[in-house]
Amino acid sequence: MTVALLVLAIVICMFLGVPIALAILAPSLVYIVLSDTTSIPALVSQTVGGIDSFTLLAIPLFVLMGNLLNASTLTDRIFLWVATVLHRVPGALGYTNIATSVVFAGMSGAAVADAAGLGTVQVRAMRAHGYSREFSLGLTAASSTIGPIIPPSLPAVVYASAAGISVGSLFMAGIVPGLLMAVALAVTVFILARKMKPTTDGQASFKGNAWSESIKILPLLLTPVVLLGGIFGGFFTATESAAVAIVYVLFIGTVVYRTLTPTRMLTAVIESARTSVAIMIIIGAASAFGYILALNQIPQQIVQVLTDVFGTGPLAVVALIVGLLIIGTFLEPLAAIVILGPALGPLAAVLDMHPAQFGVLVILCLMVGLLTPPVGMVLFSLASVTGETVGIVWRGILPFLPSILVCVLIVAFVPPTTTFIISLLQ
Amino acid sequence: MKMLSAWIAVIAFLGTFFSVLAGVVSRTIFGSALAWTEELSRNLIVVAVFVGLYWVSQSDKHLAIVLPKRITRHRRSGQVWSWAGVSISVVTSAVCVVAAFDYGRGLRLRTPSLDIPLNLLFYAVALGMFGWTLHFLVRAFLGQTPMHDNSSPSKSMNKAGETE
Repeated sequence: MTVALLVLAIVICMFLGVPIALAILAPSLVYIVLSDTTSIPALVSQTVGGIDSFTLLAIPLFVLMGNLLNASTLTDRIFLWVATVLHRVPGALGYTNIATSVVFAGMSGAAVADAAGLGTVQVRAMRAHGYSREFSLGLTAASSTIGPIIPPSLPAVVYASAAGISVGSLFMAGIVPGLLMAVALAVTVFILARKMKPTTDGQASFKGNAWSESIKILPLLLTPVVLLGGIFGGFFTATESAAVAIVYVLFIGTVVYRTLTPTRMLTAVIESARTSVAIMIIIGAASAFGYILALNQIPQQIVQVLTDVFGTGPLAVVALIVGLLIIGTFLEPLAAIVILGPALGPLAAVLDMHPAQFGVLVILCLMVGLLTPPVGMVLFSLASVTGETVGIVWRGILPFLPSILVCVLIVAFVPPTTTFIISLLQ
Repeated sequence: MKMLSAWIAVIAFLGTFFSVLAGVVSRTIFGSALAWTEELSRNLIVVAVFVGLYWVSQSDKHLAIVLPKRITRHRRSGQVWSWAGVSISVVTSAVCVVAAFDYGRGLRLRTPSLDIPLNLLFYAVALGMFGWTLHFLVRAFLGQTPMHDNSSPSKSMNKAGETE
């Protein structure tokens, strides 16, 4: 009961506009003061301990890498390259949008980095070629959620740390579901674009030699190879691999493409530091809250209640998905993962799911929350960078939600989608 | 104060990157891993986070839920909401300061290889929380809390949200 009140207090604080980290910490501290289960220093220690993790250091480094790519305008090059390759296909800009997000997903682990970095160029190009405002914005938002599924992925790093599983295996498990999402979105584009009857006429501006463009962009496309090759090959940890990939991005940005100036570099570093602080404090606060939940044996109770009511079959999985979708709508995804990770970890075994499959399912469900109000960060970020209203972006996203939900169900009930690559590489 | 917080956070952030890189280089190129790099990088990110909180709050880059405009249209109700937020911030800050000092007095743990007093991290917590609270207090006095300033919701959202 007291924990339920604590959760209620956290939700109220969040809706009062208190920063999420503080909204979690403040009621937790009050709870600690009123109860005799643990001490305040222990809570502060948990907050610091939540941040003090070498595995989680991958987060600021991935953020820095994404921002360096954005600062050196290399993300625009990815878009132009994909647009050139696909320029003959009717409705190509829709597919270009998705393909660009897939390529960028291999270099950045954050949906909002995709929306903020690629959003402007993607939406502007689609609008210029006759696509409706809602469709352009909705597709850009939906395709940006591929970023946290395909490795490297910030939520995957956090989940692996919280649930105590290998970051590498979770990265491997995310590859097929990410591509599946891309296919599902492409099918939706195919259906919707037929109604709009797009032609290739307006795409002449992207006409060019696909081969020469591909060769030009090759050094950039090797970034995921450098990043993931180190992890999958067992040479580096995810954190170390991120540091190595940053050096590579610095090299291609300054020497190969010569677009990364010292000023842009400094801006990227400052923005990355600011973003990292905002993310890591939430992880720390969520870690402290998770500690309180653990003290009260809430994880065990959740597992118990879920299995008692829904059993251990498909119904329990569906109930879990519905629960995660609701949680993702109201809670910031990384905070949700830190809080729920230890609680849900044991559930994977109960539901007879591979830990990595379960992890991808959790991440996928929570990522849907990025697209929905009131905490849909992709929604707000895209509205901000494109100067559109949140309502228009939200209306545009709605037609794409079913395809993402289909992917969620496939990941939940077809294990090879996540375990195939793991068994292949291990 | 904001600039100081910003510079410490950025330098610590860069230090984290170079420290991780030093560990990789020493292990892969020179064949012997430097034991202190991992620990230094972890400590630096903790410092960056807690010292940088003030800067992040001042820049409106913290993550928060911004309610739709129509709910917080009235200035008076907005002020009530913001004062509720400030009160919670003050309580949090006070408790954190007490906790940090209490912990500092009781335990002076030292990390194995770097020999940095661990309780400094707890003072960093207190510093960060104080900075954060000061920020909310000033903004509430000026009537500029994020609740009022929701003409552009993304202003109080983090750009890379990076969550993802």
